[in-house]
Amino acid sequence: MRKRTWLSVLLASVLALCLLAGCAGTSNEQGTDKNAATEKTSIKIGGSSTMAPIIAKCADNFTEEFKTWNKVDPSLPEEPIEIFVSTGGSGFGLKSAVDGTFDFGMATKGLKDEEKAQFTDGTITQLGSDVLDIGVNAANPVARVKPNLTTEELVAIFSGQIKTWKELDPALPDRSIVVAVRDLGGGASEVFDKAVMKGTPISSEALQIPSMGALAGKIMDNADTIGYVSSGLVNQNPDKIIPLSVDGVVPTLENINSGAYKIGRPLLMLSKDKPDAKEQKFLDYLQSDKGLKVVEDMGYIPVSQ
Amino acid sequence: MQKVNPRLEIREKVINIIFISVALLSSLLLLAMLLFILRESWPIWSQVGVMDFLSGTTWRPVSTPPQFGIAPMLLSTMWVAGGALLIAAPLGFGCAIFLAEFAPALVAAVLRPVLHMLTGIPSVVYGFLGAAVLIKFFEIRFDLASGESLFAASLVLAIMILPFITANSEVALRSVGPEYRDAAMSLGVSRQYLALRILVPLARKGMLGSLVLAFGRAMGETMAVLMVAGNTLMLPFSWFNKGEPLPALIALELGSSIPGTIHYQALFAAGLVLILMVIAVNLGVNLLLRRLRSGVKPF
Amino acid sequence: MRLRAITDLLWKGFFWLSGLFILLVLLAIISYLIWRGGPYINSQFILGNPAGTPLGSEGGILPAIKGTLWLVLLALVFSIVPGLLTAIYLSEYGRSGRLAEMINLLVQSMSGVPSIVVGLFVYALGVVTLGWGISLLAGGLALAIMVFPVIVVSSRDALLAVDENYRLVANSLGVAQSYTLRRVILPRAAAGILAGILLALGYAAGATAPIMVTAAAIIADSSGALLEPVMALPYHLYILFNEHISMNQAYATALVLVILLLLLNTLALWLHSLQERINNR
Repeated sequence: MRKRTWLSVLLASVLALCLLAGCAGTSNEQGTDKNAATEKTSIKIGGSSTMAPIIAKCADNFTEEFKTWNKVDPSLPEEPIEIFVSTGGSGFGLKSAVDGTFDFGMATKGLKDEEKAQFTDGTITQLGSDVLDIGVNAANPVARVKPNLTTEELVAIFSGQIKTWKELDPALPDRSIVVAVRDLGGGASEVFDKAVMKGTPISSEALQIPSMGALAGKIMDNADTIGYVSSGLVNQNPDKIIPLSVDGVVPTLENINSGAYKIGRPLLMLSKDKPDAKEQKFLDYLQSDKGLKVVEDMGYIPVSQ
Repeated sequence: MQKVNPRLEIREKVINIIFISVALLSSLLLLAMLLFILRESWPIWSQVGVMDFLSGTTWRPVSTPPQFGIAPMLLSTMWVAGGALLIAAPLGFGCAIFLAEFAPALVAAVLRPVLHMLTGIPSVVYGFLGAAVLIKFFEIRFDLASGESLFAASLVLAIMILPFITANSEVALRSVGPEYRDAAMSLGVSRQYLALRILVPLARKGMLGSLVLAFGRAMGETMAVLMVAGNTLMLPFSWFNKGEPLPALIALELGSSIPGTIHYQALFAAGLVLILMVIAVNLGVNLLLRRLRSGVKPF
Repeated sequence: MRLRAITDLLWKGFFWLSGLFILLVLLAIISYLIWRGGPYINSQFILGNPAGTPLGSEGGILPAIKGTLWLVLLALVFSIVPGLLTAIYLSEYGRSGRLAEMINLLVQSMSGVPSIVVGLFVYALGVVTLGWGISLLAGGLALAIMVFPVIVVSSRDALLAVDENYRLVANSLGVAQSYTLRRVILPRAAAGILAGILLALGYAAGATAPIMVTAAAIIADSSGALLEPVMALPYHLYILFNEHISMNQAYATALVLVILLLLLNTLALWLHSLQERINNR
């Protein structure tokens, strides 16, 4: 029996080695394929879960309108348009764009210099901005009583120094403030930190919510919640979430464009290599009126042309 | 002596070897996964150190300098899984005893498929219902500022692991020899006495095993707790605090961490801790099942 | 002795209540889903594509249904053969040897690995290193790893439940072990093995975390191409309610998913009882 066992171990390792060798072979082939600009039949996009619905809608419209690539541009082959949009988060999108998993990565955060350096051969395209409103529930009296918060008050609330609404303003009820934030490593959190908190840590009692949509949902469901929310979601639910102004600046279009309202993050499409013909066409579409209209319809701020 | 066909023998040996090889290869997958995660998280272990990582109470991955302590998450995981066991064990055992001894055939015929069906409901649906229904319920009923808590997560998990506890415990109860029932009946002892004083102690090996397996399951569950536990960073001193169990930590921050950074590696380190915890629990079951001899032998 | 009678009654009540509680829970879950999601299920929902702004708030979930079917098919293709072979080894050839014990342990430990970690592993191995990208292939592999222990354990138990006498008689007659396996043991255990496969199928269909990082997209055709992303029912549900796109669509999606899985489980249950009848003949 012992000899049989050892024979099997040998066979198993041989099998394993064969598998690995075979896989390495495939990946080499794939690698050279990618380098030898063979026409890819589909465009894969992934990353920020905030941007994903926007790009998905654009992709849907684009596919509906043109159906095959030759209708977009006669020099392209008559192949059906296939665009895939995944989520996974801005960090995932950035990394996947770099290692080629995605043709485009979607990121909703300002890029650091080291991060930008990875895309010098490719493109970084900004489609617009996602402004972060400070949102409260429509039933929360603070919208009437104290519709403006100073940066200091914001820091005090989000760091947990001020714990009840009454502490903020005596006219408000004596109920705990429920602070809702995004996950602390993420883009939205980084933006908020840079623009408002400036290094003061967020309260350890704050609820970390996995996505903007869920954060908006929390504000809509719970009258004591305050959080930073994508303006897109606020605009989609105007009677349920009320944005507060910060330091006297209301988050209107003019104020955002002029830079007076500071809490925002760019909507970026990242590509490591120069986009091929089909990718460029889609990128152009995104930046055209039709694409930017989708950005606007979903409530975000399109980049001005 | 009968002549043995040599070709047949060789063929049998070859088949045998194929079986063993495949079995080995497949099982080695687990080791491959462990090694891979260890490699991805190595910088954390060498830079931060095992003790500091496990006992540190601050998790601030993106501040400067970053701090990686998962004690709050470990505690949250324990609260959530332990709490789920606390709620599910009595109900699970009760239901198992019910099915083994008390349920009329008709009721049992309905209940068993029902239990089976409960295991078929995916965890994302439980998480969805928990977030959509349970949290609102807590907020309204108990006038809480926000309904998320480790307790709410325990409730959801309890319903998820309940069918497993019941199914395994019932099997354990049923595998007790019929001579005990016969003896009890002939002595005129009540069914309740039979169940509680005789069958349960004899089946305690299997019943405890079912608990431990359910505990492991509850520790690793992601989707059901992600939306319900609150995901706060403070050390949860009470079951009714909010917290962030380890799987929620990983699921929450993985997408926004950039692979290759220390944040990413820390998340893999947390994943390694989680797997090792679950494996330790499973190993514990095996040791338990071997050690705990029932003791009483049939006459 | 009055005390004894009272405690007996209380315990009996407790046992009955535990049983009824479970019944109630399932009924509550299903009826709530039907109440909230039922009205939104129509032929357009099942056969249409996601639509509306934001995408998914209207329209249907056909690509998600197709994607789930593809993922599960791939998972089974990757896991049935290794799983069955391992189970056969554990029940027929290994039995009590030390190697078999070790493999048993490894397989059982594998069932404890959190599904998101499996997804991570396949992400780094398949999606990145082997260059598959976010793809059906990677997702299928991740799910296969996840359900492998389920198939091994249930098949092994089904095989072990076959009456030992068959093996003993065959051995004493000088019949080769592989022949006994092929002609006698496997057919008798087939129903139980099939039940286990169906359970694994259900488990794979409902898993979210592994496919999140290996295969899932929020918009895709799910036409079956191996190296392309797919939509999937559990992931679609997660996106719908996490991003707050539409609660109604979410409930409807959840209901479709639950009905699908309940059907699978009922089928598995029936096969299981069939197996019991075969064993007791």
